[in-house]
Amino acid sequence: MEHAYQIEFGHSNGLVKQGETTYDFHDGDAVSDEVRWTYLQINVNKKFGTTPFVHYFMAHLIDAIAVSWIKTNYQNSKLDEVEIDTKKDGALSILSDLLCYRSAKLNIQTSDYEEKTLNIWNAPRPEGGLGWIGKEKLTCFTSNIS
Amino acid sequence: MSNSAIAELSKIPIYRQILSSSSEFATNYLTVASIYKDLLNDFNKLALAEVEQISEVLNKFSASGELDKSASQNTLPKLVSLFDTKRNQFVEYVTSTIFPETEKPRADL
Repeated sequence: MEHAYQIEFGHSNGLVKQGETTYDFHDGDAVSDEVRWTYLQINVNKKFGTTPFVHYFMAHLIDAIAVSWIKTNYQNSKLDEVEIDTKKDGALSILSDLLCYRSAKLNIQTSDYEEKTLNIWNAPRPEGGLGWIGKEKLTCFTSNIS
Repeated sequence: MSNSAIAELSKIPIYRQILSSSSEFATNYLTVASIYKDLLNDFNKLALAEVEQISEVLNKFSASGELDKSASQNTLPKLVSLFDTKRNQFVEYVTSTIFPETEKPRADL
């Protein structure tokens, strides 16, 4: 069950609405209660298609794996000392910051697919993206790193 | 995705669920995983001077009032500091889990 993950996929006409879900996450079972549950609601469009769903899964899976490794290798006291929050989505910022940094540093010319990844993270959900990197944050990187 | 890659991935429980969920999802999985593998490898190779650059930008962003959860946490620099010599182990662990080797050397060659 390690790294198990359940995602509800929703869309504009789908079953999932923000703040609602059809699943009861916890039932007291120590193993299944460790499974992460989440859902995604974006408007699928021609520009990105369903690829953002795969990115959503991939990024959250990495976060779950990363947190598992961190908890295995470091004591809570050490994590408190460096103010690391191992709650859900904490390790996602590694990917977010790297995408911003590479965009600013390399003008994202090295990888067409990386550029598409940044676009998916940057585009708001109503436009079919994940909306995880705001324009302001990206601008801050491009303005301060050359 | 090649049939051999699908067969190899299907041996691992977490991928078995992915591969059975949607053919489009499964087809895209390895392609998307590869970009994150590259990003994590970049994280592993970030020099301390680059980490400091990222930290400074995140501090400026936080100070600008355009607060954002990841920026306020400044997590990437903190994790680099925490991992110290273990950064390589961390990246190896994560990438080997999300992107297992599908073509292993044959022992009889």
